[in-house]
Amino acid sequence: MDSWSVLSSWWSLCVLFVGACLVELWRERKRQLYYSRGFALSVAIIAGVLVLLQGGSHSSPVPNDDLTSNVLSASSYVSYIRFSADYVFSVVSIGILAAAILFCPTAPLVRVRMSRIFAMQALIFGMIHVRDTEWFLVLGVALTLEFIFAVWYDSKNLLDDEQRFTRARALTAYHGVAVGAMSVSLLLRLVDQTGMLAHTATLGMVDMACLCVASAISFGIFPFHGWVLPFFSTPRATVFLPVMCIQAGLLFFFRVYAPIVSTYNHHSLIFVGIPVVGILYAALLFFGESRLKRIPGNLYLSHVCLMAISVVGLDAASFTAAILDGVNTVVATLGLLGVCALLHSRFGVRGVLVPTGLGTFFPEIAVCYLVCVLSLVGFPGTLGFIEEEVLLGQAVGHHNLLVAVIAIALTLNGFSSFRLFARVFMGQPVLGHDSETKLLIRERLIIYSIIAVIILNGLAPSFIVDSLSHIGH
Amino acid sequence: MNSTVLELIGSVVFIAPLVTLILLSFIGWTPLKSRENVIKGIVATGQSVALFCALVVGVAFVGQYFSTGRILPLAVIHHPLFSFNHHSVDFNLQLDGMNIWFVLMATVLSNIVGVFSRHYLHRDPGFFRFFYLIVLFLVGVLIVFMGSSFQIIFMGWEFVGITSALLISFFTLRRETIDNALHAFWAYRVSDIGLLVGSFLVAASIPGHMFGELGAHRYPLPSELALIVPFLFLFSAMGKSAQFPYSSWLPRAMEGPTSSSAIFYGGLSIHAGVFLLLRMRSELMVPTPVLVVMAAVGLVSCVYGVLLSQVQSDVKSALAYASLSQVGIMFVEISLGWSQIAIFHCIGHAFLRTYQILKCSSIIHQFVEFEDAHQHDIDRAKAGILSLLIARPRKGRLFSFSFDFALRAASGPSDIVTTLERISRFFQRGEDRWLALIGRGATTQNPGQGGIRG
Repeated sequence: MDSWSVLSSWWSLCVLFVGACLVELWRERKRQLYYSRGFALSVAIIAGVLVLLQGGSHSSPVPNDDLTSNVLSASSYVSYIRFSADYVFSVVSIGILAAAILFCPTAPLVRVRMSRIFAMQALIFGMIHVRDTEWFLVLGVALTLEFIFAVWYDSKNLLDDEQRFTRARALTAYHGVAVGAMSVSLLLRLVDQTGMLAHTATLGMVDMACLCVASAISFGIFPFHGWVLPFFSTPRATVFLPVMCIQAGLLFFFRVYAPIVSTYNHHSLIFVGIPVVGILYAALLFFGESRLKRIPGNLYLSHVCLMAISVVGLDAASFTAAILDGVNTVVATLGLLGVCALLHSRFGVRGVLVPTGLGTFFPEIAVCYLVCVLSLVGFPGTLGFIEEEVLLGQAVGHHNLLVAVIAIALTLNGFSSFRLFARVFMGQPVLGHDSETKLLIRERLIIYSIIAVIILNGLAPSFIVDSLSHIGH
Repeated sequence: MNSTVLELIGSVVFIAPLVTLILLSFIGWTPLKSRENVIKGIVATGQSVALFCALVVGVAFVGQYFSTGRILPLAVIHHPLFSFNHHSVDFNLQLDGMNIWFVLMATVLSNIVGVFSRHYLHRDPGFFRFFYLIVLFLVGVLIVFMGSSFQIIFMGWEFVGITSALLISFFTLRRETIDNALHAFWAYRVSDIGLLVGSFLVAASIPGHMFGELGAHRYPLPSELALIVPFLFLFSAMGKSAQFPYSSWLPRAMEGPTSSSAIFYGGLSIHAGVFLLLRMRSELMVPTPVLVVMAAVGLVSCVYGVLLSQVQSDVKSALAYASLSQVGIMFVEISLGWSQIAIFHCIGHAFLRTYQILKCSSIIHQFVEFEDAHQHDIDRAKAGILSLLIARPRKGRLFSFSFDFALRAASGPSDIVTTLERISRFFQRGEDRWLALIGRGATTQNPGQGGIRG
């Protein structure tokens, strides 16, 4: 195996993050619990380079092993982008990790166990690239357990939050069920492989049911969504755990849930009806919301139901709609999480019932918030509009009622989002202006990047739609 | 004139405001945004170029009409957005015999309002924000008027809605402006459902449909959609044009600056619903029940507007209800098939109402100066035209009825919003209780109790 193959394989990513995890563990043992942005960003940049090398290496066959010619081969690069879901997942994963690093406030305000974050990221890359369902489940169990431990660690540090342990227990209950379901499925598969038990339809149904439940909990679809909102609203100033959660959720959705549903019961009333109820429920739940950090969670709930509607009962082209929705949800939710984290870390803003006028001091954040929520409600000129066009274009003619339901849900979400925008960023400023209100360069960088991604892909969507449509097929 | 040259000129009608918007977007991140002269220059240039090009196209169309007796649609912008699985979405804009008048109206009024606003908002902290939103609105309204399909109209429709809400809440320091902006935005969002669903149903029923020559061909819809789609479009038009029962947002929308009120609720935005109905009437076969309902809505709105305008305490609200009643008459005209009359009525009304709203604040000011000069209240008989501003004592059952009706109408969709909020809080409490149950803890903080924790 030559150096090029090693560098460009997904193993290198896992090794990188495991190494970073070990370094962080060593720092933590030396009581250096405070966050080191430089190190985290370096790891993310190296991972980004490795992901790009991955893309170059899996392009059309090259005549020689020259690394330069692989990297600079743009046309073969683009052809790889179009054909590999793994590559898209990897890029998205690195992108949102880097964004979370840039959003994270400076020490000593924040205590983050980056060892856990790196370990989870390594597991995620493993889950992206493994081909066997059994190995996927093993890594999924490990990831979920890491996630539970991370939530408990976080809860112990939230000294001003009375509900922290209630939330942690509830989240553990949900994800404990997911771990149990994955374990049962894994056990059945291993037993089936060894031949100890005869393979029957019943066992197959149990296996599928366990996988469905595990994946539904992981990506938080109705009615297994109970942990999502409290988790997203936990008053922490960083977005690492939500970012890990979103990555894991999308992985489970596309690798487990979507294939099962589309293959086995794509006309079942359950797999259509539940997401439809879920999207309306999420929209109604959001309508009276006043807690700032629940905004990303509420919109995330709506969009996972939209993705579930996309893959059920429709065709491969609708997978494209689901993937587009996934990308839009990731980017826009990340932007919202970052905005909420910024407002929380700077001003301790958590809930708003009266206008606070923060737009006077934070116009860039106001614009970022507005662009992100408009994208999540399908406003023209944003990535969300493209996703809405693709989704509704597929839904019409198959299920006309779906079009009405989606339109109603988007309407309710749009109003709720704008109302919260008005409450947070409009009105008489209630906080004094001082030097702390200026955004840092890293914050500007990530905010501008998110706005640019959403708007540029909304105005010139052909590249992203063409790229993702091949994956859908 | 060579059609290629005309297409190019027609495309500049949209491109000029778009370029202005892009320039302002970049300027917004620089210190230049506080330089009024720079902003004025850029906006004035963009608006003037758009107006000039629209005039050229308009003259060319008039010449074409007199020489050939018809006006063929002119495709000015064709930009494929994306396509996959036999479903393609293209951003197409066109100018034809109907929308050229609306485009001219939009460009003229935007220029007038721009000139007015340069003085009206001089040294206002929101100067840049106002002009940015006005240009964004102009781009949106041009998409509505120039869109070659209902889906393109929807794109512009959304821009009109969001800019309207943001301009209503322009003076953000007052709580009432924000509440009124939300009130209007709610009405817009609900009515947008109709256009969103209807446009997709039309696109699915008539693939690749683009607007053709005015009245040349009306497409029949499938029987199951023949009634639904026109009703959806009518529903949308009612919300945008503030027809009964979606009128309560219109007087609240007067919270914004006078110039934005003029261009939105006197000139352009309130007539977007009329334009949609004109397009629908021109392109689709509309069944009679829809036309009957359209006429009924228009008549009721007209009477409603007249009654409520009599009991308003401020001149802008009175003008708002007057606009409402005129738009109701336009609905009746469209339902009767008098499309040309409706177009002329719409354009004339837009100019008149824009003038009145722009002028009203000056008239009030002059009235107060006049009274101060005379040092006593003015005798109505001697006030001349200013007598219109002196409140007449009114009494009688009609006035009482109008007053009570206005009070009830003022709540409007607030009742629906309150109901939905109650349902939402019920669900939220359920979620919190469930969380407490499985987390073995007390229920979390009441969703109704929020606030800032500093």
